[in-house]
Amino acid sequence: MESNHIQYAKQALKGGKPKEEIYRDLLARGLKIEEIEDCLAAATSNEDAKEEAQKKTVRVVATIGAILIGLGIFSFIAANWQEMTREGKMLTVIFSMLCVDAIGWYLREKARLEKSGEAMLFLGSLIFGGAIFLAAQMYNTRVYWPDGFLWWALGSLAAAWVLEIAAIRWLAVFVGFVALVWYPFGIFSREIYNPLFLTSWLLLLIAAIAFLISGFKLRREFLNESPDNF
Amino acid sequence: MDSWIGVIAIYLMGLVVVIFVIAAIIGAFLRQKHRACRELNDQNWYLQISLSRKDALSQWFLVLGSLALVNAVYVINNNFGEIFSWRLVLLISVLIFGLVAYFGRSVYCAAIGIIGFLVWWAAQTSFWQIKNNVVYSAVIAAPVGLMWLAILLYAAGFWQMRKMAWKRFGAAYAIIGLIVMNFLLFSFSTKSGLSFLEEMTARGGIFDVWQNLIALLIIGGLTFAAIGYGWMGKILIKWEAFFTAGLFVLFGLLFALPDQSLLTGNYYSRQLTSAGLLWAAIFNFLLLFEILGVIFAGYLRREIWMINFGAVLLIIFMAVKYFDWFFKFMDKSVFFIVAGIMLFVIGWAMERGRRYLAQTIQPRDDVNQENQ
Repeated sequence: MESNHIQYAKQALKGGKPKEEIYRDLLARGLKIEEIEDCLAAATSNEDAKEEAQKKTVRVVATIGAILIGLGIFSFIAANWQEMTREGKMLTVIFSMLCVDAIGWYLREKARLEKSGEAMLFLGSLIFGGAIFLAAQMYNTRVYWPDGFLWWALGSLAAAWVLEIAAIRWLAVFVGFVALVWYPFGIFSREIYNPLFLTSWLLLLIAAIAFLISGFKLRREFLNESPDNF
Repeated sequence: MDSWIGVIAIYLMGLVVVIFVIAAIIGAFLRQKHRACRELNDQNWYLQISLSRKDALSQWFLVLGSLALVNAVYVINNNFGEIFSWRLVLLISVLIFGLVAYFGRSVYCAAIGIIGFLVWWAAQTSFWQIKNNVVYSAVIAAPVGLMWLAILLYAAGFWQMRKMAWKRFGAAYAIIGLIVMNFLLFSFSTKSGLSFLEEMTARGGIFDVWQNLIALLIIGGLTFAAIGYGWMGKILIKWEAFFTAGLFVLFGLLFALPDQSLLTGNYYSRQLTSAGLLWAAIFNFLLLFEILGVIFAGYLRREIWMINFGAVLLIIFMAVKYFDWFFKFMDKSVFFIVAGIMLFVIGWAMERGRRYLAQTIQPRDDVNQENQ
């Protein structure tokens, strides 16, 4: 197939010409139907690859931006920790979480800026995790520290379930992994001698059910997409 | 001692999980990095750690769900005053991972479940020995059972690999089986391993502990059946079946061995006795044949991963044995020069050999096209 035909198809697609019209033009140039299909496929695959690369760049930049904002918020709270009242601290954390989630939702759903919106919602999940540990520290809650990660994982899992954002799903995996792998280490080295320090079995059971349901749901989707090549 | 075995077992499992995570992250990174090579790798799709983002995520969710359930079981058991021993909880964990692996078709869960079962075997056989007041620090049932289980996994792995839907499971079984086989042969080919063997054969050995004997008979029966079925069903290549049968018999003889004296002298100046020398030679030759066998089996089976795996094992084997045998009595400068030349020659030979084998077993173009 001649490259100038592909070039023509690319230019035409870029100019917003409908595919049917390009099809007719190439037919008029004497190309066979199979050749035209190959030509359009080559032109669109290049376009798709370029668009995918641009999307990826936006996602990376926006996610790094979100992480930096998160770090900024927490360093601000840490710097002014002594001066802030307990209510002030809680309000700052909750307010920033709600704000970030609301902005993320607006960007994704209303402004149709998917990648930027998803990055903000990811930041919301990070702030949610930070908030758990800040609250536990403020109120001197007597729990084993992986519990905080388990709550964080459950929150992220719920957010990932509703929003279907891959970055939040991976966050849930990472945070859940830290909690669940560390837990038996603590039990066997008798770090948690006091039974009050033990995580409630109910929390672990809820985490198990949540992860298993999410896992089986995703697994079914994956298997349905590739029934033969599994 | 019992609780210490528990701590070590759990830390070992934790270490395995951490290594698994690091491997998965590196694998995912390399997969992204070498996107161009993916088409080439597609014929070996069942060896990839994850086939897509959804595949990896769903499997991780299932692993974490199973882990949370295992922790819940442990906490409930703890809250009720430890009704079950930690070994039984470990066996329940293996069952949970196995069920999730089967119903979710998750290779990650299957691999963790198998490793958990192997750890359980070592812990349980040690416990049964201690319970019968036969207090040796080394337990013969553990390595014998592990070797038989490794052979069983290897045969079962290739049987599973025949079915497209379970091909990834089969590859995982075969790889774990090979790793365990090599680990055991390598351990017994060293002085420390032989010193353990000496302790293991003390007094009545396996016949003192009826639980271990019955458990071994069950596993032995299963492994024997797997080798036989593998040979008759052409799942195992004829000489592969012959070699695994040889390993099966040899390790079977170990637990019936009378009291052995393999080493003399103290810890720092241990010398092999004539019996020790014989066993050392047997295990070293077996290890070398096993590694060469993996490469040859890879060639016959047209599995490049086996050739690569065998090549890596061969390098490790040669490096370790060279250091072990020649470091003390050779002049250090000569030692390093010879080592360098040897490595260079091995590298050259392996590059040529691997290229030749890979080219020879490359699927034909028309088969490639059909697959695509």
